[in-house]
Amino acid sequence: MALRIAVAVAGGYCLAAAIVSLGAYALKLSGMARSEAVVLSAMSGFVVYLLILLWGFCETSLRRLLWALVVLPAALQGIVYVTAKALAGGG
Amino acid sequence: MQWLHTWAGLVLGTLLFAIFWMGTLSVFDQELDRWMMPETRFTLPAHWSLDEVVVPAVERLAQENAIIQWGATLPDERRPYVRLFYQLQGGGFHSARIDSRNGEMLGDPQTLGATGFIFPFHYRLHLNWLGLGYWLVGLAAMAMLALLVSGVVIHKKIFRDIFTFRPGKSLPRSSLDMHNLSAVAFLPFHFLITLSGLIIFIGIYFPGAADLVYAHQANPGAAFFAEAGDGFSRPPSAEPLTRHVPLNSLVERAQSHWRDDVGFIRVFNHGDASAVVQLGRSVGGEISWNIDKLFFDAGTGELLKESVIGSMMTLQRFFVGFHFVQFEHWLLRWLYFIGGLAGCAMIGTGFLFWIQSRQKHHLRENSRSRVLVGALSLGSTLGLILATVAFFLINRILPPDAAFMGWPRAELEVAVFALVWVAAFVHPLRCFAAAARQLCMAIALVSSLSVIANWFSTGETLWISIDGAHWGVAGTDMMLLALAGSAALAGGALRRRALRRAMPALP
Repeated sequence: MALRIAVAVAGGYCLAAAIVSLGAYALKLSGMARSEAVVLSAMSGFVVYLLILLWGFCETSLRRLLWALVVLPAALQGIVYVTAKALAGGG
Repeated sequence: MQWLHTWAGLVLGTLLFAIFWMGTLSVFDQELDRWMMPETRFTLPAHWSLDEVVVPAVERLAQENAIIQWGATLPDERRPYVRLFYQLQGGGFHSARIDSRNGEMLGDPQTLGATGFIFPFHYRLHLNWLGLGYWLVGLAAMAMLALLVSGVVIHKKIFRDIFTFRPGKSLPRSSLDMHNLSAVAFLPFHFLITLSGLIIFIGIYFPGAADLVYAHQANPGAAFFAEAGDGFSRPPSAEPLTRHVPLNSLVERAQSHWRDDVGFIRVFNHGDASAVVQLGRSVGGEISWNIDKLFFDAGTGELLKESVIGSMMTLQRFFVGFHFVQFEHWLLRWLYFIGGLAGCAMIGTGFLFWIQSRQKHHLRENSRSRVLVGALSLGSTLGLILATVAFFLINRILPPDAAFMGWPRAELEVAVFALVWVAAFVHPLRCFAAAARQLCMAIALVSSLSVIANWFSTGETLWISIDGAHWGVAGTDMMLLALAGSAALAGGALRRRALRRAMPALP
């Protein structure tokens, strides 16, 4: 039970944060002003996190929970990290 | 969802009650400030001006130390003084308060007041280490949203619950009714106030978005805020400023441009030929907490720039304004206050129901755990209310310039708050049965003493406050008396029930 809560709260946040970062970047690429993309994506992040939390508490399969809230956020955060490095290096 | 609702509620109940209680009081933070800072109990003069009141005060400060920039929040009906901040050459930021009647400094307030203690408590719990307070509040807020959704899901008859209250029934039933009633009736308000509270801090809770989109900048977060707020800056020229355009004339131009008041002024590169005057629009006129700004050349008065805020940022500012309720609307302010109190009642009765429904179970199994949970819930609800009124009382009792073991007066007030709160957690551990009743009686006693202490320390009785239209002071006095009355009633009811229960045992 404690593991489930920790995974849902911490893993869920990492997933939501990754979706927010990539979402903001995607919005920017689609032509939205940079600052507007950040604001829209970050505001939506709270609703995204809430949905992830509710799903995480209801999901009965621990395997699916670990895939969605540990492996997936780690992979997405990796993409965020690499993209940010590339952008910073490219000036 | 049932277990989620029960356990998240219990674990985070203490935190949520504190956040809701402090937030409810923050609706009237300016009014509480007038009560806690008697030197600010005056009426804003009908005519006052930046050039006569603020500029001379800043010039006096600049004679002592070179000032590189300053800013001032202009006074209004609720806060009649000017809140000034200034930055000295070399970096240090300072703040001061200017009397709008004569331009004199008001001196050290010697209290954090409601704006300095209760309001920051609401969003960061005064835990500044690693921003821990922000994250705990954010976690509690997310839990609140999850609790609201799961609470709706576990209710099969949500509409009937709004109209159901059975005070005469056994306690677990009537406290559950009260929990449902306060939750369902105020559900939209509680959901939106929690969500908007989170949205205020998008930069703290989701810094990653700006970090990625602005990754090419040296400081992505700062670059984002500068761009989103559409600011303006130019480097100092190292030439002295020779002619000054009167600030009043700039204010008049801004007022006619916005058809609204000016709420904030900031001067960059003070005294330099490239000085910039930034005027910010008042936030009192509409729900949205706007960040509209005009930038003028301080020497010529030429309009350098008008900020343009994007639609998403405007939406974010709407959420901020909706949460802060600083716009001029007294009826709505009272409705926010009532909605906040309903939130406190919802959390408090949720606690009560949890304890009562497990009372038998725990009495049989392990009474120690019941006392622990009971002490936790009493300390975090009634105990916090008692600590808050003790904070008000000590504010009116401590003499000016009081200090103890090197602690200034303002910190002593906070220490009393903390001591009383801790004591309210410990006391129920020792005598649980009577603790709720005693806490109620203590709240009644301390609140009425606060009102009396206000009368004695300032000579301002309730009648004088009402007569002088000091509505903040009069309102605080009346709310303290109302709290004293309801706490005494609750304490009396608890006493009668304890007596009734004890009766059959008598011969």
